[in-house]
Amino acid sequence: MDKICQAYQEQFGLETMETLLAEHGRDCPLCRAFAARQRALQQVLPTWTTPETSPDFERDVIASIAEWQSNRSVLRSLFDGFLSYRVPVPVPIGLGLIALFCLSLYYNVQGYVSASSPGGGASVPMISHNPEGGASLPEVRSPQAQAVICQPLPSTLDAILPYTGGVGMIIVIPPISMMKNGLTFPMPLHSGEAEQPL
Amino acid sequence: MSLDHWVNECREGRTRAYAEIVRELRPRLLDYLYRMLQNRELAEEIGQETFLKAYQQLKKFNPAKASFTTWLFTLGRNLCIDTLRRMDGKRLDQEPSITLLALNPIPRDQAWENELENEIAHAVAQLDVLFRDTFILREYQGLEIEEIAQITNTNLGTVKSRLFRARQSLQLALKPVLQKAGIHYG
Repeated sequence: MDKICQAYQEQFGLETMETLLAEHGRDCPLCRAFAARQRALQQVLPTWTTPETSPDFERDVIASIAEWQSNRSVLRSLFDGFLSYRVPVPVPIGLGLIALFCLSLYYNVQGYVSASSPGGGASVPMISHNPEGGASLPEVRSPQAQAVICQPLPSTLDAILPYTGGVGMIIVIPPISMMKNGLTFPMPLHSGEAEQPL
Repeated sequence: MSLDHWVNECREGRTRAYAEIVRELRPRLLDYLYRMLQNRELAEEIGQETFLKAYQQLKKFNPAKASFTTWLFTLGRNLCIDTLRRMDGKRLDQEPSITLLALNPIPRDQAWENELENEIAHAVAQLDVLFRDTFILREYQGLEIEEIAQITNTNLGTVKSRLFRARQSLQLALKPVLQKAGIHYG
């Protein structure tokens, strides 16, 4: 079928577009036929009726709700409350904090491993530039001076990263605001208000 | 009292108002579920699960995003589709609503209506699930395309396309019946 015809026929029944379909149908026998068949079909659709539903339906729904409420023991309610703790942090910020925490963990572990291994630290003498041109090796007076000269200076990032894990934990876990639509954990928050039995 | 009033009452903790919500929306929801599943017991079972789930998740309902009816239908539709998938996509034949083996002869008009009803139900049951639910929501529930898009979690174009395909299929399936009835078929 012509895509244009299909586009017109998809508008059948939509008040805003039906006049366009009618106008198009004057010149297009396909669309005119479709509209006629659809009108015929819509005449008979109400013939299909649905059976009466059980008179106890509402009572059964209320009973199932009451059963669900009574199954929630005090301990489960507390457990639910803990699990449904909602962290009101926007998703991008939450993901960033998690990434920061993982990075911090990685550097902490790496630092621990390198600190505990023998002969840790760089021992390659660094070459300094001679202002008069050319490079020269630094003067090495003692092993301690050599260790100081050769040890790369800690970057700002290296200095603060060990602490970011702790900061991340402090920020992520406790609540900080009542913002909605934040990063959520498994279950929705249940308010502390007492549920009235039905 | 309007539906919105009862929903607000429930959200504020006055859960007895939920019975009013069930009373108001039961006919529409069960009508939809029955036409989808074509089995009364199953439709009622899914309907009960839907209302229970809606109650359990009432605090997640955001009136700014959708009406309560739309939200309830979304829950019901998802449960319905899950059920159909669990049944491995078996197409459901309609349960016979009226026996044709009556002791007394059925008047011709009634017999014709019975036949037509069975044919329509059978034809709808043969539709793909996604086309079926769009068709039912539009033709039997009278929902707008925008609402259907929200319930089915698709866009307007997809809804229109599915509706078109469903109508086309049904026109073809019911052609013999309609022509037999002398309905002008274009």
